[in-house]
Amino acid sequence: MNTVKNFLAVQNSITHIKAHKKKSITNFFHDELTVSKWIEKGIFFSIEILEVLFLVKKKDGFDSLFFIASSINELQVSLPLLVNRFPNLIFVTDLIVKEENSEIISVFNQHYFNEYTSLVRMSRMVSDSSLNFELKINLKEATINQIDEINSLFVRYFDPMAEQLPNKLDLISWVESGSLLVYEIDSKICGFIIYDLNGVSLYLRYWFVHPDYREQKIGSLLFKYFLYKGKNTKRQLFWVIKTNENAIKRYRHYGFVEEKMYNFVMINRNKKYER
Amino acid sequence: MNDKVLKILNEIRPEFDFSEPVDNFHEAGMLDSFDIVTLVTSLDEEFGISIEGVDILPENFSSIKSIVKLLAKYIQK
Repeated sequence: MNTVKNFLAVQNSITHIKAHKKKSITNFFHDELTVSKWIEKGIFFSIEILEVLFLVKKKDGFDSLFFIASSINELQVSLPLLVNRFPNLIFVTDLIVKEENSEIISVFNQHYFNEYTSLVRMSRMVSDSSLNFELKINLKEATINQIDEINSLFVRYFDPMAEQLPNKLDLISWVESGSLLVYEIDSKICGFIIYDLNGVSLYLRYWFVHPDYREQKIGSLLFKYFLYKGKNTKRQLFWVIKTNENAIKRYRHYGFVEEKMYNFVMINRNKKYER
Repeated sequence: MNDKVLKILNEIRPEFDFSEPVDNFHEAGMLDSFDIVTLVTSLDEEFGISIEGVDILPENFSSIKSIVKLLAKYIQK
């Protein structure tokens, strides 16, 4: 595998693959800024096999795999070649598809990959500009001093294979924009919520309640704050684990519906996400 | 060409009205990075072109005007 030197190299490889004009497919949706950070850190690699460009981001204990293939048939041929060439690497790949029985999923299933977990996107198009919400003493915008504590909760309670975990710089950026709220009891963070407000869309990034403080309506309060922040947007959305029927029922209660948009997290090992 | 682009955008995100004047679809939260890649594929197919990697940037898909400008570059090639 080659270390990616700059974003232009990725762009040129994409051009090369797309030039075959066979209905290209990809799971690579990252922007230049994000990719440039990976390149700077020296954790981003590429390999071209036949008509497929594979991009690999090194993580702790596994590698995130992306591809740009000239066609599904080319992916079908190249994927086993990649896996066989690097038998020791644990590849985890996110496949964003609009159908649950997408052909891309079956290609990965046929070549050593299993479903680790799968998520469905939920959204609602309603908003209520008259919604009010008063921040309570316990619920407040996070401060820079709390970054380490929040980061340690991510490390302890989130699964990096199932979710894209933020780094400290991401957390700082959310704190600075006021889009990271924490719920505290005795100065200890018991829950938090992180959202991205992007024009008419409000995207729930993370929503967490510490296991010791669940069933105390902290999560509900955090979620109501998210709804309140969406009062002037047209669309609010987030991803939820497909099998989490209780959560899906709760979201439906708030008017959210499942979109035809799925994220299948696939791994070339026999492992399953455990909640 | 405008109508074809508008039709594709409406197919990708039917919940938004892309005919309304908006400065930047991406910044307005109407198109995300997944939508842009979907849009590129649809434009490639509709116009029989292959938009190059260097052009797959949010700013080239920020409005109908910018998309049409980009298409013109490929159709003239």
